[in-house]
Amino acid sequence: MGQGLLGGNKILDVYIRGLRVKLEPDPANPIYLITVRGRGYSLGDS
Amino acid sequence: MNRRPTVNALVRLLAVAFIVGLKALGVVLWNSIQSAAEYGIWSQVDSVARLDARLWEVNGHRLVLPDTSNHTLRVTLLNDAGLVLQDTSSPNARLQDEAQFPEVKAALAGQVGRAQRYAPAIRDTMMFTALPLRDERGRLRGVMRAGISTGVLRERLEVAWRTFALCFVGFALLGLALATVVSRTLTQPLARLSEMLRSGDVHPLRGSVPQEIAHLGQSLQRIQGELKEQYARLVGEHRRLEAILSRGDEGILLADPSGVVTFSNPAALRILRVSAAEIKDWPRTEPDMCSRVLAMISAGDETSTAISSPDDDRNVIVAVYAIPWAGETHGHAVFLRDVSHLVRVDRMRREFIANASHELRTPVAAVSNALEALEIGALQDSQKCGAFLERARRSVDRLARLSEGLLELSMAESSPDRPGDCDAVETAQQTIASRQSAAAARGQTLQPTLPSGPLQVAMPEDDYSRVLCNLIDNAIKYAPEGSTIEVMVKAGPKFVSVAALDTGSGIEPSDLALIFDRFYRADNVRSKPGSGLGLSIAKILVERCGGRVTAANRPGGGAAIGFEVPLFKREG
Repeated sequence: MGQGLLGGNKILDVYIRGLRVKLEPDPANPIYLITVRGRGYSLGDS
Repeated sequence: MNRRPTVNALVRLLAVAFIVGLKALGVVLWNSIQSAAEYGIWSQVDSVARLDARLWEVNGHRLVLPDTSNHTLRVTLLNDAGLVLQDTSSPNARLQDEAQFPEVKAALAGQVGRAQRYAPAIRDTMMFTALPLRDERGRLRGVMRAGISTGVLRERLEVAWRTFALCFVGFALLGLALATVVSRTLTQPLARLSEMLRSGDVHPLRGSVPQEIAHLGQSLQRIQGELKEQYARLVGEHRRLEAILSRGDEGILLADPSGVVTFSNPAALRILRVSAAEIKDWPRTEPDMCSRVLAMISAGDETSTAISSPDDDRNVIVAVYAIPWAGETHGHAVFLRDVSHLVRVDRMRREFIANASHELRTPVAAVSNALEALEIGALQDSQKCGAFLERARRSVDRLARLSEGLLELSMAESSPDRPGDCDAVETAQQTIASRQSAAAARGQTLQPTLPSGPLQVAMPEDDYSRVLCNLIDNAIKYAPEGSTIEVMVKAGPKFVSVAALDTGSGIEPSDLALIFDRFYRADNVRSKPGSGLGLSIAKILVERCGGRVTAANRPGGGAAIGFEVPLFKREG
């Protein structure tokens, strides 16, 4: 409920999308800012 | 009793408690929602700050920001002095000193700084997370700060709050309504039952009534029916008992444990000569009979004694019994028996024996004296001899008359009742005729005053004749010589009255009631011959056939002694 109530991680999602547009060669298939399902985001492979 | 709470009040109290509980639960829930929401924001701010810090490291100590910026998320890069190097929200804020803010201060000290404050520029509260930025050698190079406006949060929370409040009010109203309905369905039938009990007529409850209350109503109805039955039975018993106690000659008083008379039957009131109202607070220290009986009740002992009235010759046997009830004395029952007439009869019997022996002794003594006188010499004296013999003969005559009278009296008293009837006129004529010579001997005239026709009376002819004969002889004896004695027979509606009226000196008023007593002879006639039993015999015979004797003085002088005898009614 808390997540839904706050609009989920949308603020973060919007911010990540912005970063991907700027950094990734193809923002639809990110290679640097990778989504780790259930955990969050990871930068590259590290 | 008014202090007791009603079911209505209890149910309302329950409803209020329910609402207050709901509210408390709401507050707790609300707080946890709020803190969860805050935690979510903090984690987002933290994530942005960490991501940007990593990007700064990777990109050779350069801040990488998306081209599009929004007002909700603000990222700021500060140098190691706390001066702004780059800011997503305000490009003109470069070199602005922000070292004084707590999150920046904490980050400059090498820690993670968090703070929340109002930002006048965007008119909103911001939540900030600041992280220290270090180079490869670990030196502090600057601060990465991320901030999120709480406006979104607040909006969402407000919506949630409105929904929540609406739900709360809804639940509260529902609770109250439910409470009212419950209390109505509970209390209304109870109130109706109570009202029915008060009015004394319980009938089944109609309408939708909870099962338990319907059962209660049925039980009450059954109990009431039984009570009514019991009551009717008790009333019946009471009536029967009262009827038994009210009749009879025996006086009965019932007293409660404090000695107050709670019941008195008519016989008791008659014996004590008080009214039912008077006996309640009759004094207990007076010498009168009622007072003495009440004093015996107060004393509380079981006794049985005879007490006599100080005022008249009443004699009453009083028996006091305690009424036992559950091992204690539950008041007293008093039985009163008026034995005045028994005492009177007993006294009369003793007086009669005394009188009879006296009456008999007198002539016997006279005969004895005369014989003694003759014995010691009077027999030789022819003159005296005759006088003594004469006296002895008179005494023996008197003795004979007395014994005859006594025999007659005894026969009248002891002979069985025999029905019979006779013609009062004809028998009177015969009787008068048979006494004419006796009257003539004293120069008297018998004057009959008789109705013309026959007059049948309910008295045997022998008795009627004997009574009239005694009345006439009595008149002949006491009326002056040469006077006229009127014998009157008069028919009434139910009785025939017969009387002998003389013109003598009459009877002393104080003696009128006594002349029918045995051996009674008025003082002024003691000297005259007679047994003193004639009128007593007449009285017995008259009363035996339902009549009564009468004695009065005539207005013009002389006595009227007579009797009334019922008219003969043929059977059928």
